[in-house]
Amino acid sequence: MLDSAQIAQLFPFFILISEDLRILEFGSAIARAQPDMRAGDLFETQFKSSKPLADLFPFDEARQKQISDKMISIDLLSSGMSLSGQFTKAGAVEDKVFFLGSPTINNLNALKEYNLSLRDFPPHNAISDMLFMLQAREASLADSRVLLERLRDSRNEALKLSQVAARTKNMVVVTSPYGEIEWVNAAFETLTGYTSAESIGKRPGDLLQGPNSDPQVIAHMHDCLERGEGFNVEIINYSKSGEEYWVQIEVQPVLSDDGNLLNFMAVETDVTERREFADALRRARDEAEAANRAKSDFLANMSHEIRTPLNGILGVASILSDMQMNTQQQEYLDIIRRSGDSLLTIINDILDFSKIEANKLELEVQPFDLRKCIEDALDLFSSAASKKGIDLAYLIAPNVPSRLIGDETRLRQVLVNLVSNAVKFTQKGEVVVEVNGAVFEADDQQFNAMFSIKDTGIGMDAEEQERLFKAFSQVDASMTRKYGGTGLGLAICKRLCELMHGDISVESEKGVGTMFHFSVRLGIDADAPAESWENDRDSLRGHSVLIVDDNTTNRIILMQFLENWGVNVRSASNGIEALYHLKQDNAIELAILDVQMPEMDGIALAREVTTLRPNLPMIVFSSVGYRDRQFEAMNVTGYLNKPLRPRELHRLLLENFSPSDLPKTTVEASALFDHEMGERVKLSILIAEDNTVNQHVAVGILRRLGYQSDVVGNGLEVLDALRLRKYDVILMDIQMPEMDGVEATKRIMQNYPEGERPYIIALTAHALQGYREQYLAAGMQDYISKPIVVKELRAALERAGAQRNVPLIDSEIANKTPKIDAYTQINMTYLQEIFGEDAELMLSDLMPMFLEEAVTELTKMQLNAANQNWDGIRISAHTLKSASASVGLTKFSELCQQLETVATSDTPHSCHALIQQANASFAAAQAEWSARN
Amino acid sequence: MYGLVNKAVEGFVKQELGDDAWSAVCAKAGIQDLGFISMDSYDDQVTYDLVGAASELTGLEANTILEGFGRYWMLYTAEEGYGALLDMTGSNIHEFLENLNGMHSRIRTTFEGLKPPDFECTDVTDTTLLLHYRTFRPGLAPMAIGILHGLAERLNQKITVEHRDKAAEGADHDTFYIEVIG
Repeated sequence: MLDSAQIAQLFPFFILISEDLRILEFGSAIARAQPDMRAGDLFETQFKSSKPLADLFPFDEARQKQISDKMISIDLLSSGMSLSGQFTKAGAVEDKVFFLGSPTINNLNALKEYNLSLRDFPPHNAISDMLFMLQAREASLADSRVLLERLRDSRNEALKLSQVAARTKNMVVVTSPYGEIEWVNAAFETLTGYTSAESIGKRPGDLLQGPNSDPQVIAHMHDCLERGEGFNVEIINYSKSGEEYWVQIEVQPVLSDDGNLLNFMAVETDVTERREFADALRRARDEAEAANRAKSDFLANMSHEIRTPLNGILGVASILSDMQMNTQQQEYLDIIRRSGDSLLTIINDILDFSKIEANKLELEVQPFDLRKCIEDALDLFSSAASKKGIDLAYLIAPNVPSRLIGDETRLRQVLVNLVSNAVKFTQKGEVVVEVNGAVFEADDQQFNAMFSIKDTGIGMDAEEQERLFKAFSQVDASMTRKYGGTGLGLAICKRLCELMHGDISVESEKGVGTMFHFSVRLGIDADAPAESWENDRDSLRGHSVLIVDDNTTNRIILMQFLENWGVNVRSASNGIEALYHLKQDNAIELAILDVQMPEMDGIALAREVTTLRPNLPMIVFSSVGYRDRQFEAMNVTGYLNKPLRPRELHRLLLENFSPSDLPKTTVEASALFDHEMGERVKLSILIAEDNTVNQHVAVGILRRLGYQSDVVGNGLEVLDALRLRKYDVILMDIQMPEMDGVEATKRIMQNYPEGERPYIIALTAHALQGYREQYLAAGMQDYISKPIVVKELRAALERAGAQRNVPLIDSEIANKTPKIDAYTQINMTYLQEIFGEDAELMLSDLMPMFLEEAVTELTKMQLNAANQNWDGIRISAHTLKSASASVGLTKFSELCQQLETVATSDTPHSCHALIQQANASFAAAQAEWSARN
Repeated sequence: MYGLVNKAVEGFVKQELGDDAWSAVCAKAGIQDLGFISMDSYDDQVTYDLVGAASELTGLEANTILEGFGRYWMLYTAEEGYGALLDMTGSNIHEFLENLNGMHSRIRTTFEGLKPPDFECTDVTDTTLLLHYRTFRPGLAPMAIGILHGLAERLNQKITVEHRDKAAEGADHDTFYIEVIG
């Protein structure tokens, strides 16, 4: 039996009750839960039960037998704690029973409420275990709720995504790791025509790919799938009905948490329209590029095709101008030259504009002299201005650097254009170019130059100004008829200014005049030295000069320079005023007189001045080339050209006042044709040119320069000619039949070692940028454009000579070359030997006949050469050999003899070169004959 | 370890370093951030990896983190519904530590396979005691120190804890000399 202490330890919730229903003892836990309870209290004062208390206590049972193990519940009245338990006999006594219970708790908070502790639950009591279990259930429930929430979120997310996948217009395909379709969306069904049922279990490739699906792309897709990697490709697929479409496929592997491949998910987008659009764009771009290339080629060709005959016209005109001619011939020649020049200008305008439009124009960056650039531009109009009685002048502000860096040619082009217009539209008054500007703020090595070109011409109204800078637009159509031009000039100017970081604008008033402004940004060439006149403050100081000019601008310009040099200046705007000054001021040492003045012109004034001051030196201020015999009798010491060149003014004044201070200058050969050049710079020259007119021109110009040249018609003939003899220089046309100039040059580079190669000068009408580099890359050393500018050709030949360290004519070859008059084809000495005194007479009879016959025979010969009919060539050559000798064309005759021989030799192909030489020789003879008559 | 512990680690990291830091710790530890189930048993390594990752990311010593976590553990378990159970375990440090093994024994019925540490109090006076801490898991003594401090806070007591014998340094087990100072 347990004693009381054991019971109290094992059952902290026990109650010992007497038969009179008093509480005798109770456990420690009950004492804590209901602190006001005392031993002896009536049970009913501390407890309650749902049953009547009398029925509750089993005293009768206790007396009769063991108490039943019925579960009894009672509640503590004050704390409300419920106890469940059973009654048991308290030892042998029958008037006391134990209630052994434990709290009915299903809520952990009750522990605190009833002030219970862990020790209130002895090990046999499972209530606490139940409580822990309860808490575990709570924890699990809490976890479940959290997980459920996450699951709900996740399901919502999945639902959202699956709805997106299902409803997107893109096709979505989910496959197994092995690539078999597990799921497709509605868009897939619609676009491919395959239902979900038809698709599931199949591989997308088997279903959708066809003959035009790129096998390389398919292989790539397979590789990626094998490796479990995603990919992004575009491929042609086929719908169920066989329709082709382009699809962009993006495939991503779907991996499990532990990295295992679960699925592949493919999103496929129909990109047919985009592909077609891209293809169309590509085609359009290709076409546009082709069109652009065609345009460039067309322009290059057009330039070639138009310039080639122009070359002929202007070249021959150039040669003719050097010959004796009567006035009428000279006038006709001038018309030819002017027409040719303006045609050339138009072609150049069109080419320029096309180049600018195609962004092909590249600006040069070279140092240049601004003053010279302006003078060069104005020079072109000096004569025209003079004829119209317009004064032409320019004025550069002192702060403008005279040495600049930029594209001088393009700047001059703008100036020329604007000055040309100004002169064209001005009938009286002046055209003045002014330059000022400022250093560019962001870079002190750059100068923003502002030009203005002011005229006193017809002017324009606002509407006319509006149309000015638009391409192919002139002020009105009648202008074209009256003044000519393409209407491109100002549009080109505008573009050029913009290319040079500037702009162009116009101010004009109808009937008053026009002022164009344009600006360009140029580099400052700080290294260039100043010219001697610029800083001269001494050599002219103190001298007194009278200037007479009715034009205010000219007077201002003259005064500006003179005063800058320390000269005392008297200025007069007319003759009367000038004479007044002379009478008043004996210190005046020199007078500068304008020629064209109203009332008393320069000549009349000079005459008066001579009367007044017979020894006063006078400088005549007039247009270029102006000379008047009337001045010869007077003390005119020099002519000063308009526009005023300060350099020239300075020189003339020095000549008068201080000749010893004159700078030594190299006198440049001024003649267009330097007849001595051939002697000075000895060169053997071969002309490769297919066009006979051009051959003619080139031969003629070279002859005027003192060169005897040979001619061939294409690249193959160049190579043949080089086998026959050595040439120092080849003027190589680019576009030639059979073999062009570039190819011929390449062959020469291959076949001849350095030092033995001729100096090759490209000769071409190709004006487009980029060709030059192409030619130089092929091995040509120099480049001149057609029509041939004599000055350019001379410069190129000088360079060739310098490079080859001339004189270079090989003495052996020179000896072999027939000794004939180097400057003529018609060998009069020879004729005189044959015909004696009648030589001239005979020649005038025979030559026209010969020329006629020779044209026929030479034509035949060329046809035969083309057909490789060597015997035909031999016969013609034979005919021409003797006929030409009879008119004194000994060189031509020798060539024919060589032809006759070569035509029957083992190397008849050499005939080509000889025929070209014969042609050239004949052309030269024709020209010479024409010149003689 | 039971998920409850790992959840507490999660709560601790989020409280101290923010939600993003927890994602970073999981990523670093190579553990998917899917949440833990309190009543599920996880490999101890998961807990060690989480603490290691937190240490690496914060640059704090693992011991510092463990101690902080121990302190947090008391707050967390109370919040998770074990407050009443803690309360009934004891109303002061002495009583609590005396009952701690009993409490662990009882919860083993619900936490299957639970391997709780063993706490034994010796040299008990009114204000001091020597706590013997024995565990299968190495390196958790700092956590135990944190728990002791957290417990004192919970019971509104001030204590000092002196870590006397250290298993990490070869002692048979760890002992903590605890003095209640207020």
